[in-house]
Amino acid sequence: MTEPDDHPIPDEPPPILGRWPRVYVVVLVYLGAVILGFYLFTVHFAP
Amino acid sequence: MTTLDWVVLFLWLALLVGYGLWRGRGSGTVNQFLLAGKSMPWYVMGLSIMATQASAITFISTTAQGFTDGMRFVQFYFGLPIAMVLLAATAVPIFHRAKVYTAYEYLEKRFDPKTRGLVTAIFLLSRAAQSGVALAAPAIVLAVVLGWPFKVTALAMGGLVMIYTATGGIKSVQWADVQQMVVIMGSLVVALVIAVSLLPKDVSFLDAMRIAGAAGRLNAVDTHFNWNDRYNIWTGVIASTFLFLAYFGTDQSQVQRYLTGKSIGQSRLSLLFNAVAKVPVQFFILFIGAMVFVFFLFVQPPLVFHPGELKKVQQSAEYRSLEAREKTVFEQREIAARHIKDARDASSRSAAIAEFRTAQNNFENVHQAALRLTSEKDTNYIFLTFVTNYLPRGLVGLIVGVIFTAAMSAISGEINSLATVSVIDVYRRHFKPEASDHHYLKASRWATVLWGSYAVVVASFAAQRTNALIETVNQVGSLFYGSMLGVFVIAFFLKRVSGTAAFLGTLAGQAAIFGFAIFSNVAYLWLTPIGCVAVIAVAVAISYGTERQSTETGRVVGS
Repeated sequence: MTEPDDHPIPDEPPPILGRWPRVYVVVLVYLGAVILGFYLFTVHFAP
Repeated sequence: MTTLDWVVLFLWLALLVGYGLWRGRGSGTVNQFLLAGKSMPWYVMGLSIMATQASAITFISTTAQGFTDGMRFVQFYFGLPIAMVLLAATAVPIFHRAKVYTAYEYLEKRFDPKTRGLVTAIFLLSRAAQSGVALAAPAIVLAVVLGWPFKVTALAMGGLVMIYTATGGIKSVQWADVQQMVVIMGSLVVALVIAVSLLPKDVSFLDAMRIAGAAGRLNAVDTHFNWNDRYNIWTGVIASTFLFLAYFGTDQSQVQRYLTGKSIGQSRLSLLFNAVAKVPVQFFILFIGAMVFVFFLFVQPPLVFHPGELKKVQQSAEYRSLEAREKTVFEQREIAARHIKDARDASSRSAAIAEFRTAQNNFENVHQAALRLTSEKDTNYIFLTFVTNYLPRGLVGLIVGVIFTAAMSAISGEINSLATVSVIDVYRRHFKPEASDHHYLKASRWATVLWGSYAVVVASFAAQRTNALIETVNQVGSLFYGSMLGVFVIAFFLKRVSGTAAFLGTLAGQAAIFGFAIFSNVAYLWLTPIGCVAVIAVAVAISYGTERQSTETGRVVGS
């Protein structure tokens, strides 16, 4: 049976920001911004 | 539905199956069939992950949630980006380098056969229970809307899924998912635009938002903490993170998606794509529900949204009397909504909101009285009532079609992963370890057909029971994630914990989850972190105890 390890799986740098940890930080900062945006949205339209 | 809608519906189904089959050609080895030969780009995996998670009932019930309860459900997804980042950094490279077909294979490499066997059994039991329900829930709704017998709807869905999943394997599943996600998102945008454009001329989009906000439908963030409350920022950020870690990190239906990546980087990107896109997408779907709520403030809705139940009761004297009352309370509520729109200062706005709340309560009382005449809830029919009655010809068929295929997408993910685990973790591991590639490929195709048939049969059984059964089974499915996450956390990070300790810890964690589920009122989202912590605590304690014992024995022998 063919195994999934027929060829080595390459790791590669992210397409932007050079290193993966930087991309992770950007995603988490983005999440914070989204939550803040939703919070302001809620407050603005609250009854 | 009109003839044009039926044509669009059937064309869409044919296009989906045809495209899936075409994309899945060349799946002639087990590696191709189960892992797409590790050739997938990030956007295919990313959209497929999103599609598998977004079942038809998600679209139907998420819009209904926006309609009835507002947008607070979006907080449930706040943990998803955190989980995706953690998994991209840890699970993705570990699974890829372990060179496995399933997540559970890794557990044998790290621990022992019994831990792999236990977690495989947990996965198969929980997913098998859910697979039938995943088919039954949307099939019930679509059977009512299309006017088809339930069994025909379930068989059509299950049959179509089996054709392209058993033929083209995961490649077909993933490409079909991509096609569905693109059309689903396009259709939802059109549905929102039409909902807003059908509002009265004097009600602008901003007015609609102000009314929805005043009606409590734009409540996206709730900062109050409550253990028993399912949706607030704390359950979203903390408890949901555990649930999504478990779902995307230990559930084969998701792990298999990113194991198809042509590189670790592509798999990481697929998860990060979901991290970025998923929360806004859910916000958008809930927002559609809120806008449909505003739409029905100005266009009188049916007293009961469920078309089948409505037919049964609409000739009764009680219903007719309620209908007459509905007209009055609807008009009062519409006037109150206009007062909110026209309020120019804080005091007139407060007065208008108070007036609206009273009118909404009166309206809701009439609606509830009508529901008491029926035998089923009608929330799952709100969005479909809007679609079938107010959207243009052709688009109705397309949206019903995409809901149909969204259900198929979730089911294909289920049966594909169940087949993979059955063949790799059970059949190859315990019954036929040394067969040819062709033999396992054939076994995988047969397992797909068997699990698909099983889902259709279970769906038929579930449909004869009440909706409560479906909800119960769905919640039961989430009772297993805590222990599965716990054992994988140990496998990844606690190198000194042995297989036996992990095995016993998993059993203890599962017992803790059942204990909390049965004897406490803790919201179900918290059961995953509770189970995960229990598994780790017990496994670490056993390992520590065993190590100490062997050290002491060593000392005695040494002395």
